[in-house]
Amino acid sequence: MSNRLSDRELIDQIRAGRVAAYRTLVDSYRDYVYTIAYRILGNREDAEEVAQDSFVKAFKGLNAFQGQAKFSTWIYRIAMNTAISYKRKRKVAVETIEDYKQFDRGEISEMHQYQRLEQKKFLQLALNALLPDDVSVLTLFYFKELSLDEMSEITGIGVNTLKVKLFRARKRLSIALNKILKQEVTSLL
Amino acid sequence: MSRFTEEHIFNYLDQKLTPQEIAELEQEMQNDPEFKTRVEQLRTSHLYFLESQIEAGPEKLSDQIMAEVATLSKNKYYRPSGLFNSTSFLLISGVLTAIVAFLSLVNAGYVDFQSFTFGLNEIGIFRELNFSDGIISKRVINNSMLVIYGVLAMALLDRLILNPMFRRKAKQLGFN
Repeated sequence: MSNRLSDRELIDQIRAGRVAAYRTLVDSYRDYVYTIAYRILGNREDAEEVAQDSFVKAFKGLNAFQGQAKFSTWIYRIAMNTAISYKRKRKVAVETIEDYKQFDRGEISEMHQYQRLEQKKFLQLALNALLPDDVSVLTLFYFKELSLDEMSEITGIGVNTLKVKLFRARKRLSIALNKILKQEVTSLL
Repeated sequence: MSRFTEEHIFNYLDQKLTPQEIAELEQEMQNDPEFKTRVEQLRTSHLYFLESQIEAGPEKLSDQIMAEVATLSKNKYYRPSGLFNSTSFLLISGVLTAIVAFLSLVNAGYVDFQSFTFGLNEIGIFRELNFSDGIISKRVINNSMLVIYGVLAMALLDRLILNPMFRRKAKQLGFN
């Protein structure tokens, strides 16, 4: 059984002045926050900057954080808004297949690893063709542990509208991905 | 044209269909190659997303965040409790406003000090000021109100203009 304190308890400790407790929260949500930023931006350096900025914003706003919401939904919302705003303000460079190889840490066979890298690359290329709002909704949906209500809380979109948005985003992603895959097949022939 | 919509297909991919619906949809895939292609296209993007794991953020990221957070919490402008920044400012403003309202009532003659059971005129400072003299008491009350208005005005000036301005300056200069 884990001895880890709950997010609520950690936040109380931080508010009481034990700033080091924030590290536990950062370590718990770092990868999720980074993934949201990366999916929206399609670039690791920018995603790192946005993830850092999101956690610092969350720390500054901890006093305003209400106990009714989960810390996870709150930090995801901050990350999503920060990434979308970052993308609107700056031109973000898209990574190449070599960048994907460099960052992959999976211990799997070379063939499988190559396949996975290809999949990641094509997925990210397809995501780059979508609007940031669509990417956010898709990323949160595929986190799996989030309910539609939580997704609604994060995105600020009503549940019914969110279902429609998600449906359309999945269709757009499918169209974008299939277009990319067709181009890839054509280029190989 | 298949009777199954794309919504059905997504429900199929999300494993939200009943066993009977699954059997019917799969039967449709066998009978209708066009429908099968549609399912396969939606399945591809679905599987690509499912299989692309959560990205691992760089390990140094936690250190960078904590370093920035540590600097923030050491900054004298940052108050972790947040009490002074919001609640206590409202509390002090509320108390001062209540005092001003009370003094205004006294000044307007709605409150008679003589009728107070604790005998205000017996209290040292009021006795010395000869509180029963209407002219002196009104002057004292007016002056008190002016002082409180001044404090309120300065507090508002600080919270709404000076404090945000200095925070912006400090941020520009890299102090937080």
